[in-house]
Amino acid sequence: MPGRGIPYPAGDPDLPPPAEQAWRRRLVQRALEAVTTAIERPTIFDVREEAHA
Amino acid sequence: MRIVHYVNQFYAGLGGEEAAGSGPRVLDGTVGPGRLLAQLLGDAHQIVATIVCGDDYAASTDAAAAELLEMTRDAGAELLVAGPAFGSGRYGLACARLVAAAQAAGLPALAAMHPDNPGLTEAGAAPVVAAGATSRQMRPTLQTVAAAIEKLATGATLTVADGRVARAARTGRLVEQRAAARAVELVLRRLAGERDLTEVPIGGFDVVAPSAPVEAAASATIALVTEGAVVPAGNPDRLESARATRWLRYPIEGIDSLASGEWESVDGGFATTAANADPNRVLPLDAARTLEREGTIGRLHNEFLVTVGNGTPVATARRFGVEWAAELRKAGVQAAILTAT
Amino acid sequence: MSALRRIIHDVRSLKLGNATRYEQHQLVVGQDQVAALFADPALASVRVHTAVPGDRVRIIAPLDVVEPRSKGPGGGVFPGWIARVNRKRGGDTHVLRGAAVLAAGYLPRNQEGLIDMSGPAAERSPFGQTHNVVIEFDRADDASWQEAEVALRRGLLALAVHLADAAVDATPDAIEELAPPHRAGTSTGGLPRVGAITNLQTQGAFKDVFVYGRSMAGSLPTLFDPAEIEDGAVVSGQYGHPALRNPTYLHQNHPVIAELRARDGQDLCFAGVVLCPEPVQQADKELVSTHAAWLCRTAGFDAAIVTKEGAGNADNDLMLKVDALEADGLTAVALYAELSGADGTGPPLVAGPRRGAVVSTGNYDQRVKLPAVERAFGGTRLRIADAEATAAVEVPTAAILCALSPLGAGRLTCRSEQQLGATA
Repeated sequence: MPGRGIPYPAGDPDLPPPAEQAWRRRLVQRALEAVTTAIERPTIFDVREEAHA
Repeated sequence: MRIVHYVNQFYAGLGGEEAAGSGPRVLDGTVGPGRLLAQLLGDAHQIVATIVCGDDYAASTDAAAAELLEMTRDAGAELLVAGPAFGSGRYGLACARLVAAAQAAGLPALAAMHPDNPGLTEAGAAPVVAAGATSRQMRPTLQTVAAAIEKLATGATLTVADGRVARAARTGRLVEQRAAARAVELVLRRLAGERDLTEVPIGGFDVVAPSAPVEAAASATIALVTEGAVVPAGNPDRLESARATRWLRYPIEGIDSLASGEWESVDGGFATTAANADPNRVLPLDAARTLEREGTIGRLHNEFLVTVGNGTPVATARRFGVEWAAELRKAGVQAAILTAT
Repeated sequence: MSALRRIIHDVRSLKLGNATRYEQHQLVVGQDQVAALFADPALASVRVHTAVPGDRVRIIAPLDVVEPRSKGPGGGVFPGWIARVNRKRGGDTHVLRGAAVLAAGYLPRNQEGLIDMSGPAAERSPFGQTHNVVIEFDRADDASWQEAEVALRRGLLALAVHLADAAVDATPDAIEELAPPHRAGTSTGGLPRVGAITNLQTQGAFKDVFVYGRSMAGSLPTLFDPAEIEDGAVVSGQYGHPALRNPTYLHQNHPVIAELRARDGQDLCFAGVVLCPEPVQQADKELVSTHAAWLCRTAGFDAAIVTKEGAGNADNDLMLKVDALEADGLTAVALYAELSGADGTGPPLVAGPRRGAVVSTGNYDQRVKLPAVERAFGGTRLRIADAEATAAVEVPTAAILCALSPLGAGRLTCRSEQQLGATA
């Protein structure tokens, strides 16, 4: 899952705090989707924030 | 020679992953692959005992090797044979550490595993012979092991001809030309048609086969782990900022969020201003805790595992990965969210 | 573009004195003058030392290193810091070759390294072979580390100019003409056009490199005048992995540019330099790499040598560029340090290109035994070895400043050898 930058894999300091919280929550939710998905090879799980904003 | 054989829980017939946390025990005579090995060895050498241990128990800590070695000695070993571990990471690591400890303590030892097994680099001075990738190659692998034992019994040293795994070591040295001049030379030779020239071999990266998915996050135990060097402020356990030699664990029971000033990243590899202003940006505890409370996550594991991924040799990173997998499995964790910086 | 002339003055001895002067290859450093150059509210005090090749001296926690240069009284070098950016290009630049100025001492985000002036570490660092003016410092109580770091950088650049100014009237030892790169579309007589792509680290405080005084973070790759790099347009504020660092000195003396110039007109045509940021996001890394390859192709490069600063994510930048160049039909070679572990048996690359070629700058983790020294600057303890600063120690190559130079300044490489287990 790509984050938004090496220094903050689960955050985004450019966002105001409530939006950053929402982004982090979305990342963890997406991670949970990833671990419950059957895959056969290394797979990138993109995170689209707007779907859950 | 009196041989003590080491196998994991699976090859001893004690069970698969559900038995991987079981501790060491000694069984008389041969078990599992030891039976075929004994047949191949004939009467000249005898497998007097088999030591069995669960992979998670044996691979999650360095200390297991000392315990297993003591049992090996008590069983009267003149030679220790471990494996074959084939391509299995935890089993390979356990075999490698045990033979390394035995050899270092003066007890001759031999392991068998696939040349790509991540445990291989932990075998120290002990010889390792090549096994196939999977147990389908059991018979040919044990034939190699039996021949190696015959040779060791004569006091000879194993070589590549005996199936011994030779590791290609990249040895550093000073040369006449500086690297920039060699780069120009290499560009010119490639332009002139020698397309495949390179100083460092390219490629050869691991491809990891994904494990089966977790059925439902809402009923699973999920761990947070990171290589972003998040530690309590002041770094009381002195985690390195680069070139990690170890990993640490910190309890998060009852903690809802990693507060700035109480936790920090000591990673030397990236700018930590943002991480230290809010350490949840590296280890997303606040969000995970909320999702646990809401029932989306069944249970958050009560500690996080951490190391620093900054200038870590690939072999060390692989070993940490095997140890983390064993550690988390032992703790009943079904999935982990790993944040990387 | 007019050519740049380097007016070379060889420094063969160095000492401290009352007033700065240069005569007959000897540089005398006026101590009070130096202290005045570092007068800044963020610095409580500085101390000046010398460390020359052969000394049994260790420099702990070195920060940036700068070569003394000046375009005549008043400087004219380091545009964006102490010279105007839109000054006239080319002309004469005086160089105190064999001399370097550097700061050393604790800075929280500096990954601790060392320079030895004798022994095996001296052979592995370019700064074990230069006559060094070493600045130790104390931060002012009410200043932040960031403020102290900026003050040190400005002080080092001013000191580099101050020292080179002392030589402007001396008879030079050599005069070197540096022609501009060959333009795209001009005849090369059949020689291939080869250029350099130089990635600069761009991660913010203590992890940034400055181009004309500003960070390249957020920029696209750009063609850049190599004469401006000679004149200090690229200045380092980056304190990661000591062995994988590119101090200002190595930009002023960019090894890849130098080696391309050395063969210009013989086996190749020097085609130019592209500077690139190392972004912190994967999508930006891909964008920058694709754009860099397009720029090289558009500028008529047939081949490029790609370099980086740092490790890990910086290796990814390197890999993406090599792949983008080769996909565009250009020949690419990258410089990497290997990460195969202390015994050299692990995989050498963390991230590597799919095609192209890789030159080794040595193995990050190979241990080097260093003998005890008589004196140390920059600190009293070597924390990475948990030892007295002057003690005999064993350190990974990674700790020796620029020993694995990503710009190719070093002579280390690795060769494959078959090994049967570790030596007990």
